[in-house]
Amino acid sequence: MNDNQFDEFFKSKLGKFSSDIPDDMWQRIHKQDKDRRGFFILRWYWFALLLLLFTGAGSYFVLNNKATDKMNNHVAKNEKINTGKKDESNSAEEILNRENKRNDFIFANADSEHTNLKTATAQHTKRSNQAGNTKVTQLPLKKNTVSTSSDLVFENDYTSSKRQNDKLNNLTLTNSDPADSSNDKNPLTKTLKEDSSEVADDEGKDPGKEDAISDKFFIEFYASPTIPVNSISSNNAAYEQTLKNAGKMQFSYNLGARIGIRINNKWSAKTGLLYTQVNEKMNFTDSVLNGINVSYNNRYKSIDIPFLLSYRTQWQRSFNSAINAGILLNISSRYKGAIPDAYGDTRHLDNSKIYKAGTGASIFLSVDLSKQLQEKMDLFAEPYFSYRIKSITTNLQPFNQKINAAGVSVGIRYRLFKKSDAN
Amino acid sequence: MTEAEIIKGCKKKNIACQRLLFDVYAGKLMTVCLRYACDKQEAEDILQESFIRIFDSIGHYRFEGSFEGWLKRITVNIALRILQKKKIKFSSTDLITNENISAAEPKALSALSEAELLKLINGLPDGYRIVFNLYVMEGFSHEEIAEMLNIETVTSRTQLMKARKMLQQQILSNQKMAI
Repeated sequence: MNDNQFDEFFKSKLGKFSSDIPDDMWQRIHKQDKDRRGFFILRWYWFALLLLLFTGAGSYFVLNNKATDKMNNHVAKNEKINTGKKDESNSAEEILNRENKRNDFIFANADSEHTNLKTATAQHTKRSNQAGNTKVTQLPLKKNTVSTSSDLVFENDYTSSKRQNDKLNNLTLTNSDPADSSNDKNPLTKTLKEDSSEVADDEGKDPGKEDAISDKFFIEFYASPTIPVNSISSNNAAYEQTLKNAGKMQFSYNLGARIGIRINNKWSAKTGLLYTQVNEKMNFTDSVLNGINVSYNNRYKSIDIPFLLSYRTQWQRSFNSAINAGILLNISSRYKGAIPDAYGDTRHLDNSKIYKAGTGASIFLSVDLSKQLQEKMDLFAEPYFSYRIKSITTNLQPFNQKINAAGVSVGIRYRLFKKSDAN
Repeated sequence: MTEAEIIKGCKKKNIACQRLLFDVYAGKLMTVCLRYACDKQEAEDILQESFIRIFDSIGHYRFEGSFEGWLKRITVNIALRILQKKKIKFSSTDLITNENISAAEPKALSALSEAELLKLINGLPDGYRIVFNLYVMEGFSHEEIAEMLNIETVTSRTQLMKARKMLQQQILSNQKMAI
């Protein structure tokens, strides 16, 4: 028997032969496959629950704060009126003085109507003669102003009628003749000039001291498209090049929520939750699959807790800027997809322990630019950069990888508490 | 179900189709694993990893060529990956005590069962066994084997020659003992 016949004998004998397999082999295969797929989904639910709790707590604070503010306003008004009841001789004057000192904000209507004072007075008298222990009266409007909620006054019967006459007699008119406004066509300016003692001029005023404790706490929600910056290194130069050629970063993003506390005029601290998803397209030749070109959509998902300090560099009433710096502490990382190993074999990310479950800390730096939308709400844009300190690969891997990120976050900041007493 | 239906079901991650595929091909793939592994435990590990990989990669199968051949190639590649991690040495140490070995008689060979043949192959040193399997059973050329294992072509030829001689020596020894 020559070599060929010898070889052929082995090939024919063993080529079609089926060996016995262990009884539990299928269960072992099925369990390993199931465990690998189910692991990530379970952890995802935990993050969703955390984010829901965080958002719910923040919403509760916001809504509770709004209700508290309204209640405080009503209580304050009632207290002001009731303190004037006992001293009848000065009640009208005091009431009128308080009425003259309006809230900080007087909004001039650009299309303000020139109110007929007599008509307004007649309406006022009519309403105040209505029966009832408690009356809501609409104070007569000054010209070139618009009515605000502070114009509503809760009065009892005794003071009501007396006040009406006193107010009519002492009413201050800003401009009885609409024609007189021709010299200054801007109604806001006109009003500000004549009622300068009443108007809080926000523009140009140093807000530093007054706004110092205007927002003790604040909450932020934001999102950002992310530019991932992938850094790979290996002692095996060929493998390093294979990895670099195989992967191509795709559109990535992050979502976050932060709660902050203002320490003083300039400094504040923030923390919260940040979810980041980095997407990568992988294309390489699989040697186990006999040279087939395979592609995978890799997902690098992480949850970090930011610990930031913010330094406010500039502020006006409606525009702020600040610098944020700190660290992002990774609490969970999950991966999906595959990469080639040094032999060209496919290694799946979710079960091969290539990357760490907790990747440590990143350095975070950003510039915060915010614009006030409402009294308690700001819109902000925050260009940022985060730098991962350590490699995300486990120790036994033949390569190191860091995924840094840059982007511009856009979000909403809501101030939770406003100062209750003006200085 | 036809083979094509089973494959399509496996692409959709249908558990029932995966089980059918396992039932049909597990025995043949186990034979492949036993040829490459040092022992049965190692063969089971190779088989388990192979099926995980097959289920993951079946989406890449394009219905070109023999499906059984595709499965066997994946199993062989998985086996090689696992064995290469053990850093196999393709030494030229002579383990053959007698160079003048007469070829085994056909009658002696035909008397051997498949299990005995597998046992003989398992008894080979790692380098001999891998090259013998790749050349004789899988049909790779020495040049292809050299590239796969990162060895010289002449090393591959030498390993194969020594593997044959060792097997023949073992067969003759067993035959003498039987007599």
